[in-house]
Amino acid sequence: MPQTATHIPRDALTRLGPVSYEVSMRFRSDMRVPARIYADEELLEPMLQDETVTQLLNVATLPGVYGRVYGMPDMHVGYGFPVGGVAATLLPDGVVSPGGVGFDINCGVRLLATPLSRAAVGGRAEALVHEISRSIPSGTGRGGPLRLSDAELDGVLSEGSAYVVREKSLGVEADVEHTESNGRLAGADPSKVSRRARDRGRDQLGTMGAGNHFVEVQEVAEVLDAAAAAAMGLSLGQVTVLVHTGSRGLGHQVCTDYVRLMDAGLARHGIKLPDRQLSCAPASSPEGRDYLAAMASAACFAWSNRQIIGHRVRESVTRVFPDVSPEDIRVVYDVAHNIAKTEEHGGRRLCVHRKGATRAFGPGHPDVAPGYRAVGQPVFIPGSMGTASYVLAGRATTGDLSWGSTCHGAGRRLSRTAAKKQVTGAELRRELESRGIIVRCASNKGLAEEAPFAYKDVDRVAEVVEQAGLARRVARLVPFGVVKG
Amino acid sequence: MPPELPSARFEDHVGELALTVEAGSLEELFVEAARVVSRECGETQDAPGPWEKVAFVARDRASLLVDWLNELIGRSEVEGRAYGEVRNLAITGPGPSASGDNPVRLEAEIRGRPVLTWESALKAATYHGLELECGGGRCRARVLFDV
Repeated sequence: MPQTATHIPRDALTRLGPVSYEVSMRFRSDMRVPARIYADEELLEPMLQDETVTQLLNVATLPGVYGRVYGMPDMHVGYGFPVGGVAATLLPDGVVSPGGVGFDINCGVRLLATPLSRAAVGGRAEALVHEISRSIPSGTGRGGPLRLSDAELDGVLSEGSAYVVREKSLGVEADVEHTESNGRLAGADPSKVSRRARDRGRDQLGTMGAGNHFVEVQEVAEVLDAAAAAAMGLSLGQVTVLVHTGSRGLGHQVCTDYVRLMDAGLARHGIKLPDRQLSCAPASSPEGRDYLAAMASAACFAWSNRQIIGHRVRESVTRVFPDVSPEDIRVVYDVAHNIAKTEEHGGRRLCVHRKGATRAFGPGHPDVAPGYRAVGQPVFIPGSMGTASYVLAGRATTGDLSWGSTCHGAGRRLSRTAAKKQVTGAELRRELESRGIIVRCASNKGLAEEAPFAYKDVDRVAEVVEQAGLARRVARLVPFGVVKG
Repeated sequence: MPPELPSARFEDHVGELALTVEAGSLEELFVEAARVVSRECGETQDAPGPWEKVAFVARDRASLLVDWLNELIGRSEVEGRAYGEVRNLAITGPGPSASGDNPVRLEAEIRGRPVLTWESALKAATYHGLELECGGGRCRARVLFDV
C-alpha cells in the first residue's frame, strides 16, 4: 500500500457516478477521511498525471479533518493543498492550515451589472476598456494613489468593505449587501497582522496586481436559467464587468508569517504531515486563533480592494457614458476563492478551508443575501481571456456534496513557461483583437502566460459542476474587453 | 580545475515557479539565491542604498533558505529595492539534521538598489518539495515559489 505515491493509480479511484470519484481512506494509512473528486474522464486524467490527487490525499491526513475532502472539477496541482481543494476540520480543536487558504488570501471575483447593452456600447467599447485600464493600477508590486494612515488601515483590516464605503465614499451600501459575508470576516484583528504585511499592503489597496488577475468587460451571451438570471438582474445582451483580484502583498505576507510560525510548532502539537506546506495548528491554540484573526483581516483587505476597484469601474462607465447613473451599476455579487470560514454543516461547527474554491450555498440558506435567497447564492466561474465565464447559483444539495462549495475557475492546464513557448504576447494580442476582444496589458510576457489554451475548457468545467449538483448554470458571459494585470 | 561558478535556473511548474540553485558552498548558494530574487525585481538604478543587517534563526538549513528568500522578497517589495549585494554572510549552527531545539542561524548584510519598473512575479518561497543538499564540494537547493 503506497504511503505518499506521487502519482495515484487510476484503480485507486472508485467511480460513484458520471462525474464523481472517491479514494477510500484505506488507500493510505495516514488518511483520516476519504477524498471525493468531481470530474469527468477528461478533467480527471491530467489530475492523475501529476501530484494533484496526491496533494488532495495529503489534505485528508490533517488532524481533525472531518467527513471527506473534496476536489473540484477545476482542481490542479498547487503547493500543499491542491488548487480547487476543499476540506473541513471539526471545531474547536481541528486544525487550521494557512496553506489551505493560500498566499493570496480571499482572492476572489466580483461581478458588476451595467444598464448598458452591448449594442448601446457599440463603437465606444475601446474607450470604455481604456478608461477602466487607466483608472485601476495594475502590474506586479504596483501601488495605487490611495495612501492610508495606520488608523485607516486598521479600519480596513477590521471592517472590510463597509469601512471604505462609509469612510472613503468608495461605493454604496448595496455593494456591501451583495458581498459574501458582507465583505467582513468575523474575528478580524489587525494586531495579528505583522508590520511587514501592513507595509506590503499599505499602498496596494485599489490595485489589481498581476498574474491571473484581471478586469473583464463582457456581454451576457446566453441565459440558461431565466428565473435566477432575473433575480440577479441579468438579461441577454447586457454588459457586465468581472473583477478578479485579492489581498495583494498583505495577504501573501500573512500566509508567509503563519506558515513559518506553525511549521515551527508542529512538533509541540505532535503533528506529523506529509508536506510541510500543510503546516497547521489546532484552531483553538494561540497560533491557530492568531492566524484566523490575521487571515480575517487580510480577507477584509481583499474585499475592500475589490470594493474600490468595482467602484472605479462604476466611475469609468459613467465617464464614458454620462447618461448612465452610478446607482444603476450594481454589484451582482462578490465571492472569495481562498478562505477558511467557520460554518455549520449538519449541526457541527466546522472550519471550512476553500483553496481555489467558492462558497455556493443553496436557496433558503440564511447566509445568502435576501435578494438571492429564493434562487441560491450567485457563483462565478471565470474562464480565460477569449473564452467565456459563467454565472451559476448554489443548490440545496451543495451543502451535503462539498461543504457548500463549488469550483472557482477553469483551472490551469499548462505552466506559464509552456504557454509562452506556444505563443508570444504580441501574437495573442493580435489573435484576441481579431476576434473583437480589446486587450490592455502592460506586459506582453504576462499576456502570453495567461493565454486561453493554458486553461481547461470552462464550458466543460461548468457542465460538470452542474452535473455533479454543485451549482446550476444561470448565464454565460463572453468578453469583449480585457484589462490584464 | 577552476571551481564551478554558482548557477540557478527556473523550472516548469503548472501553477507556480520552481528554482534550482547550485554553488560550491552553502554560503555561496544563499548569495546566488539572493541574486536571482534581485534580478527578478527588474532593472535598477545605479544608486545603492545603505548596507542593512539581517539575522534570523530556523530549525534547519532548508528552512533557513526559505526564510532568507522570503525576507528578501518582502523587504524588496516594501522598500522598492532589489537586494543583489550580500556581504559577511555567515550560517552557524548544527548541520543538516538540526532540530528546533538547536537552530541554525543566519547573519548577513544586504544592499539594495531602487527598482525602475517592478517586474518580479515572486510572491513567496514555500516549503513544498523543498530540497537542500551539500556533498562533494557542491550544494544544491530546489525551492518552489508562489507567483
